[in-house]
Amino acid sequence: MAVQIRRLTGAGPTGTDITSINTRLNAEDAHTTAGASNSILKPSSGTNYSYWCVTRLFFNGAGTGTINNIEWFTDGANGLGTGRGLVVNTATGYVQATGTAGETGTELTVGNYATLAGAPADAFSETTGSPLAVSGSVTDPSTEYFGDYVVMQATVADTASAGASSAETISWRYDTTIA
Amino acid sequence: MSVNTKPQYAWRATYDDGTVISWNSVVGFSYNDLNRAKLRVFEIVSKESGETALKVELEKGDRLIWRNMTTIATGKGAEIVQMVGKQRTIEGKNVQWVALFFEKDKKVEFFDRFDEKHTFLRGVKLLPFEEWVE
Repeated sequence: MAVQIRRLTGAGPTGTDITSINTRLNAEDAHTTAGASNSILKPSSGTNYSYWCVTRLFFNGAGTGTINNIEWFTDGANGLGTGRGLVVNTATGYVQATGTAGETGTELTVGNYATLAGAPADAFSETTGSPLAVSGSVTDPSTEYFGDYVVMQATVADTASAGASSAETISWRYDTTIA
Repeated sequence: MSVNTKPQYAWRATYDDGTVISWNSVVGFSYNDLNRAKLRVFEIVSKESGETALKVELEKGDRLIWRNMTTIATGKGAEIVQMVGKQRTIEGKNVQWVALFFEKDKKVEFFDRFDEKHTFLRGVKLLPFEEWVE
């Protein structure tokens, strides 16, 4: 068995395994590890956003047993730089990201993402000791997604400096009785 | 390159009649299917060598819980902790025992209860057959 972290993009959506790589939160509905053609435009005032990034766990293969108690967390320290942030919440469904490519994404709110569990919160407040609980479980999985979605969005304020942000590590934790 | 989230260790159980069942003994049989009334020994064993890393003896009335607790970090791979616990009711009092086996460095930690402040012991969701209640 292999459990993957997948990023979902497009109308389909298409799932990309990002477990062992990075993915950029740009102003576009696409996965890229280094793309810079649709970066978030630093606003002259206020805040711009990345297109929201929808992720979910995927079970690749077949297994006998249960997976539950899914959690999501960061290292608790915002290393993105001044004026840059990351917000997150869970959702029960997929909504394709929208916005103005190369400028800003549509702000992640319950109004814009109907199945979002609530207003998104600072991702760096979700830590190993106090993680974001992700609802859902699966028993005897066979090549399928499981658990709720985790939706993230990068924010860029007018106080930010230009340039790429440092990478941040995102962690998922789950319990399983699949050997 | 995909990340390997497959545990290197699994379980082996011994019933009170001496029957031994392992994680891979019977296709489609899992920990969920163990006959808990007959369970006397539960071990965490290396899938490769069969060597025992952790052994728990159960008396009649003991309730067992086991989990692979897996953490996947983007770009950093997986870390797996095997958790084995049991509880017993003695004179109306709930007595618990828990052990964590860290696959990465083969370290074992023991606890006398499920500590809700501990990263790996907090919020464990019981399956219907585990009945971890006082």
